[in-house]
Amino acid sequence: MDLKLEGQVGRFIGVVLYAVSTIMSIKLLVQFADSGIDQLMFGAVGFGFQTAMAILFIVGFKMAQEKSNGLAAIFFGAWVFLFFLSLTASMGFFISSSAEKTAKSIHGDEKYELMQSQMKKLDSDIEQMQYQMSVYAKKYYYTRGVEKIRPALNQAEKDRQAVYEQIMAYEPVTSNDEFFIAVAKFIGAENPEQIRFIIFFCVAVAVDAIGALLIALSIVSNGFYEENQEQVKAPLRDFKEPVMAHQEDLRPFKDSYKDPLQERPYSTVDVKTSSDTGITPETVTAYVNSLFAGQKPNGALKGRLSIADEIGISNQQAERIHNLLKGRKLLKVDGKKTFPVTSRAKTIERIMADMNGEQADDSIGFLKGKEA
Amino acid sequence: MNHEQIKKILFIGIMAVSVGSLPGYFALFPDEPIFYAIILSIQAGNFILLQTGYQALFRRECSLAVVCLFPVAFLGSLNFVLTVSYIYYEFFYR
Repeated sequence: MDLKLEGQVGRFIGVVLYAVSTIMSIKLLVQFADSGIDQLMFGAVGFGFQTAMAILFIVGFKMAQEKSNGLAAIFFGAWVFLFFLSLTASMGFFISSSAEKTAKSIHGDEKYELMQSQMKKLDSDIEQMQYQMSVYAKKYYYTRGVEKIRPALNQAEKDRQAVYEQIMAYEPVTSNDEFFIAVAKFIGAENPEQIRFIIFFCVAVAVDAIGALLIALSIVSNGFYEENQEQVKAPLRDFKEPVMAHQEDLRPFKDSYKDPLQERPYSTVDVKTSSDTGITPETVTAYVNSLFAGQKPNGALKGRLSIADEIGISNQQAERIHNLLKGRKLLKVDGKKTFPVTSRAKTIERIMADMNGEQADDSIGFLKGKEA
Repeated sequence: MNHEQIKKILFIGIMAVSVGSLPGYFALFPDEPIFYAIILSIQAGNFILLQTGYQALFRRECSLAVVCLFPVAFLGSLNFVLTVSYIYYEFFYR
């Protein structure tokens, strides 16, 4: 499947699932309202918390990308709270819809109808007997009238109570119930309703979580799928792509490949051998400017992925520039954090000197494509 | 077996389980086209997340891969249970 198409489809599905989750929340909340204004208010609350949930997730995701872990944790914490609220709303909607459906199906059920008609017959019998007893009582026919009817009346009342209890406890077995009874039997659960409840729960989680993730991915990385298409395929299909010295070679299944670079040790200056990197001196300058502009109080510089988003280059290009700076010892990497070695002006000056060939190592070939 | 073959088998397997679980999901709300659409959207979203997570794994973006693959694993397990249950229901129970 074309990755560009997938990006658009992903965004569309994310929006659909988000809309579904919002509608379910609103419908459930509206059920609690008595008047029109209440309905409006409850609907607004449902829409508001669903929107807040989506925004919190997107901002949290963005913060995590920028390595602002504290802020990301706060946003994700708030998101988790709203997520559970949305989950409860979705579950409530499923359960109430299911109950509604059962209530509808019960009226067409033969056994239920039979019990209902039995109940009606007993009601009329009781009424008739009570009337007859009152007539006998007026005529003072106690022994031959009232006392003769009383046992029959008592029995009819008992029967009526039994039928009433049966009606209250009756649940019609529909074809879908049969499936859940089978599933419960299959996995050894006692109550098929529990199985239905668990599946409702899982579907609600899937609607909320997958919807939020797809929207966040498509918004945060501005076409996540599209922009990464090249870099995703490249390491697996083109082994001339760079593998930097500081990175572990995590290529899975590498044994099944004949690696043309096997005899060439990886190096920080082995940046690119293809003809066009798409990196210009202006790009590098913009990268360095953005790098220093986002410097944190502890001296750590901005993450390369967020710089890529900011200045409009691919993650792969950002990775290359990062490694070039690192290879020229203009950056110091400590764990996940990057620190400057010198000032912004000197960093730009030295990297430009390198790129213009004044001090360049011939093996860089960084701008070959562009210069050609 | 190389990477591409493994990828194909993995994706086809997951897709088969997703499709196999559909009757189980549809049994939740029979004759409800809107619910069918929701379930199909979930499955499509799940598949896109699988693709994204898989690619993130190869880009060594582990946190993104975990975020994407966790719901895939969650829904995949449910799909698997529903598929097996439906096979049991259709061939052994009825």
